[in-house]
Amino acid sequence: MREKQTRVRKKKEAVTEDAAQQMMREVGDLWSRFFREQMASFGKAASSDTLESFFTEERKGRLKNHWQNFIREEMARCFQVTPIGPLRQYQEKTIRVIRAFAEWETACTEFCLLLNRPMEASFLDMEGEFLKKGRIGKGDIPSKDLFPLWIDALERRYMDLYRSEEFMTALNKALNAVTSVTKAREGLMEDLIKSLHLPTPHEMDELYREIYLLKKRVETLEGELKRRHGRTQ
Amino acid sequence: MAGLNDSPFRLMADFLHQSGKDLEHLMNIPSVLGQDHRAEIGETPFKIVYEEDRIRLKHYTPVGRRRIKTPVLLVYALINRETMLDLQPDRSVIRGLLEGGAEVYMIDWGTPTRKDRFLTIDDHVNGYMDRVVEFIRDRHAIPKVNLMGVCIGGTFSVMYAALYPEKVRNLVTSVSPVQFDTNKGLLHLWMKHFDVDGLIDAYGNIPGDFLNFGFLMLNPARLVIEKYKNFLDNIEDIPFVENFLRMEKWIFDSPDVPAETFRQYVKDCYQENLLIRNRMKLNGKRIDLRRITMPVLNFYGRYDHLVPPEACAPLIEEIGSGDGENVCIDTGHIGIYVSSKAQKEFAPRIVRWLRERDGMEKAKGRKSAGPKR
Repeated sequence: MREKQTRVRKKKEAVTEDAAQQMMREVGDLWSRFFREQMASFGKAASSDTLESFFTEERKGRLKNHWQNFIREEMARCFQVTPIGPLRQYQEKTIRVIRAFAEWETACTEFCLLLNRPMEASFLDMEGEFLKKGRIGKGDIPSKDLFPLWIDALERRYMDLYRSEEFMTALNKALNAVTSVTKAREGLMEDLIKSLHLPTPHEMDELYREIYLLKKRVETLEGELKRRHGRTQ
Repeated sequence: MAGLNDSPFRLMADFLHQSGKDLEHLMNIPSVLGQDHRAEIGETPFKIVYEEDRIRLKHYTPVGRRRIKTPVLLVYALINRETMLDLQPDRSVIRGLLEGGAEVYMIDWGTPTRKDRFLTIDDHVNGYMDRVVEFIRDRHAIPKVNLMGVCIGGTFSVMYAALYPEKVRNLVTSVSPVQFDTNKGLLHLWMKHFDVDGLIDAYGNIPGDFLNFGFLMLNPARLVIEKYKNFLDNIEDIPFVENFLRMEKWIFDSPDVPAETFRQYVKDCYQENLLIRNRMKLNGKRIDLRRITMPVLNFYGRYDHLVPPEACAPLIEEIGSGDGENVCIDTGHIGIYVSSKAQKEFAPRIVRWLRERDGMEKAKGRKSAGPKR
């Protein structure tokens, strides 16, 4: 019997070890893929006459997918254990935080990539300017004019992005993800605070609401009293 | 010189070189920032004459002869601090008003804490603002005050003037949104589909840092990149550095905004646009802009990216007063108070306008203000 239990324990340890090893491998692979791709694109861009090769949508999409897959699939999988037993609710809250975090990470990556787009587009605009000048035979742009030219292009690109449907969707997604992760984290923290016999933020808010409503009632009653006093005088 | 045959990296290097001027220039940063700079803000002398919860009422020491009869009450926004109106001695709206002969009071909204999260716009307008006005009326034994509002503080002042026209002699608003249904400003666009309930459930009061990030994001090219590049370019110019540090000190000193006030502002104003349609209610009382029958002077900035002219200018059309005037200044949202050009235009214009309507000397040949026909 004891031998059987030891075997089971050993098997469990092996499973945990395998999962951890697999996760580490995934992180290593992801980093290595990212590094290889960046080096390849760097080399390509350095030998190219144009900037376009460095900023392909495909490359960014691939990188984003690698990252999201890692966060969503690999990291979250480690915590996909059905919660049971008396500590179930704590387990559930922990899982909720991890899932919310994974969603937040994904939404933020998407949002940051989107925010980076005007930056890339503005560099391409600058390149376009050089090409145009070259075509009409004007040749060079004085160095002192480069910065204002670029800032104008960047501002224009940001304004275009900010008015797009795509940006609004990404912004709302990122904000929703931030609020979800904050709420999930607060749920977990409340248990910790309760265990220390401290009032939770939720309990404090209830108290503040009561004080707020009481103050309003006192103000109304004071006003009423003043009016009555005024009438009798 | 940059040209067609340069590689992207050569251009980038050239660009970076130009941005920082030279390495020696950048090396000066630690020594310049390590010095003691005169970067104090809000230095015009004042006394606190009234306090309630988190709010304080500042009374500025008068300068010279009083030339405007009724005291002016300044109502600043809930975002950032009122010190912006008194950033430095030569760029101070407060000083401009004092030197013009006005008696000046200003509400300092303080720093909201978690216990302030249930305060609504009603608590600010019908509560704090009204009690402050009552205090000034009692103190000077006068029936009315001159009210001047800045940004959201201006929107609150419009609400107040509509609810209590008998207590307001003249109303001055600056960069104060009243028409929220416009696509000109990005905030107006973004707020339309903004999940304010979710944000408040998560945070309670809206954190100042969150708002700062939002404002910077509105124009990263100018507010993040160009601004700091200009700073680097002028790092050896001490007056420039001190002005920059004052502005920096003010702009990132952002108190949180009470949750319920923010919720009501986003929903009633940005999403439902109730104010301009005379459908907004505070504590059950409808705000009817036609009840604003006192003279109104309404300022806005032509290049304001936060509150565009389209959000401010319609006020004059909607009020009941026959003495309303729009003034567009060629500047942005903050520039109207702090740019050296606007200093010569903004406060002197208010003083002139107030003197014409409420001067110690009897106004000559001026038509009295009355309601629109």
